[in-house]
Amino acid sequence: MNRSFKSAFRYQVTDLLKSTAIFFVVMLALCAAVIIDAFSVSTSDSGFKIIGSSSFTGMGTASAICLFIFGITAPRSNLRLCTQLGVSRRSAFLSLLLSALAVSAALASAGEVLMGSLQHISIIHVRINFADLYQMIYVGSTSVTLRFAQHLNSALLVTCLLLCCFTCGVFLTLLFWRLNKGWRIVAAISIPFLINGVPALLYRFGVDMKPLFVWLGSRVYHLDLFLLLLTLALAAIEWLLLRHAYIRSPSSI
Amino acid sequence: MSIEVKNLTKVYGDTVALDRVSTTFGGDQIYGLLGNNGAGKTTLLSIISDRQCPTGGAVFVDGEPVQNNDSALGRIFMVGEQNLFPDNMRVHKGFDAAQLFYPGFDRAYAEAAAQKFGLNTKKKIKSLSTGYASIFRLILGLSVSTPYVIFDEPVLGLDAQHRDMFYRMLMERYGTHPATFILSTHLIAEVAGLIGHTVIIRGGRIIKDAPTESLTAEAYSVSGPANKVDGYLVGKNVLSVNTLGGLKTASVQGQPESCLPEGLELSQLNLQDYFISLMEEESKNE
Repeated sequence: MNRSFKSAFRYQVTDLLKSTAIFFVVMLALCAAVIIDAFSVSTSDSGFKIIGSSSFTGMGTASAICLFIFGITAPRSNLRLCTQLGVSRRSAFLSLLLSALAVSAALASAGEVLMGSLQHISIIHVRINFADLYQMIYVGSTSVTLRFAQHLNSALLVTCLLLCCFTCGVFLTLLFWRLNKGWRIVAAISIPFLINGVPALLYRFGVDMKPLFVWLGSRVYHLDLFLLLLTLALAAIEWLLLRHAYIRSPSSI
Repeated sequence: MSIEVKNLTKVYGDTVALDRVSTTFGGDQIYGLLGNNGAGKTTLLSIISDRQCPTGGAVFVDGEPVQNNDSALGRIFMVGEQNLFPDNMRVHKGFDAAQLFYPGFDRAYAEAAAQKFGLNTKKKIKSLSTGYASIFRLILGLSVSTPYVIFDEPVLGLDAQHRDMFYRMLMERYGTHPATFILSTHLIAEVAGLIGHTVIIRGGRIIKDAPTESLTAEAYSVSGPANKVDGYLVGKNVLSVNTLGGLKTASVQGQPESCLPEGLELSQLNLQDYFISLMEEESKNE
């Protein structure tokens, strides 16, 4: 790793971590609201009664949306800054992905610690439910809390998901960066069609996607692998989009 | 130790922005890159700094290809017309970033220069006026201490006092930290005294690449009554002619004779006059 790469990584990871910290504070506030709601009490003639019942299962999903948005917003400004400060586009791009990996792992781990802690509240208060993606897909409702190994699996799954969502965001932003006005309109129309239309067309032409989903749902590592392969494929396309891009001010595009 | 540009070509659709351009920048000199609008100056400089890719040819920095090469790119700092800093970044954060990426960045000098220019370092870069945005980038260029610093239209939006300050600071910095500086500008008269080597580009081709002194010594100006000037110009390589009333001034390529006909006045061409004459001659030939 050369000096430019390290500097680019340090700058980008700090930039992403600042935004991630704000997101995490919001998540903490949401969890606090869930707990307050569940513990809310009412006094009536019959006495003192707990009226709340709450659940929070969206940490992983919300984090994925957050990283997707970072993937859309971060690359252009970071690549411009790196170019201004003498970093090659290859180093800028790779350090961006490495920063995203570091931030994804940090957010997934922090989320896991938060969920693990909150799940202990679920033990003492049955009307609160805290769970995340791994638990909902691979563990089910049989267990309120997770074992350490399950927490590790959950963190790994969320890390892979966040990284994949980040690269999806990067792909979209680079695609729209490189396309001219006409092709941008074509892409804007095509993307929703591809997302919704292709599965429908596959179904119509008899391509059965069920075995894939069964395979993905059978073990968490299958889903991890699938997300990583998707991330690598997107990253390869992104590099093709970026390697000859003219890096310039947004006002001159 | 130089930036070598070899057979650089850049084509946009039907337009050839650079046509097999080859030149060298080095030797800790101050270069002037001159050319009309659309000549290809910014394209050349943006390819040197790897902001865009060439259609053909290559750029080498101290023997290393510049494309996707951190080591080569880390030795160049380009002060462009455009702001590539994030919209929400403040000036002092911009200095922080430069310090992070360039270990040789002279923070104390940058802070002092900002104070000298009256640049508020707490302001967001995006909210700076055109002139102050240029000043911010100029300060970075003067503070980075890289072996090659490129200024593309450095004094855009600067008033006369600030332009003068910049030229003085550039010369001071050049004296204390010798480096290869490339100045691309339209304000030729203002930089003529600074640049030791001139590269003139037109229509994507380099038409002159020589020490400034030798370029201006290649031509001279003769003025006097129109009929006498006309007589003198017969058989000479005339670059340009200006007539005002009965007086005529002509720029002539070559060396003047030791004695001129009576009534005619001889003067050496300055760089701006030389440039204008050359452009007029090129226009006639096209």
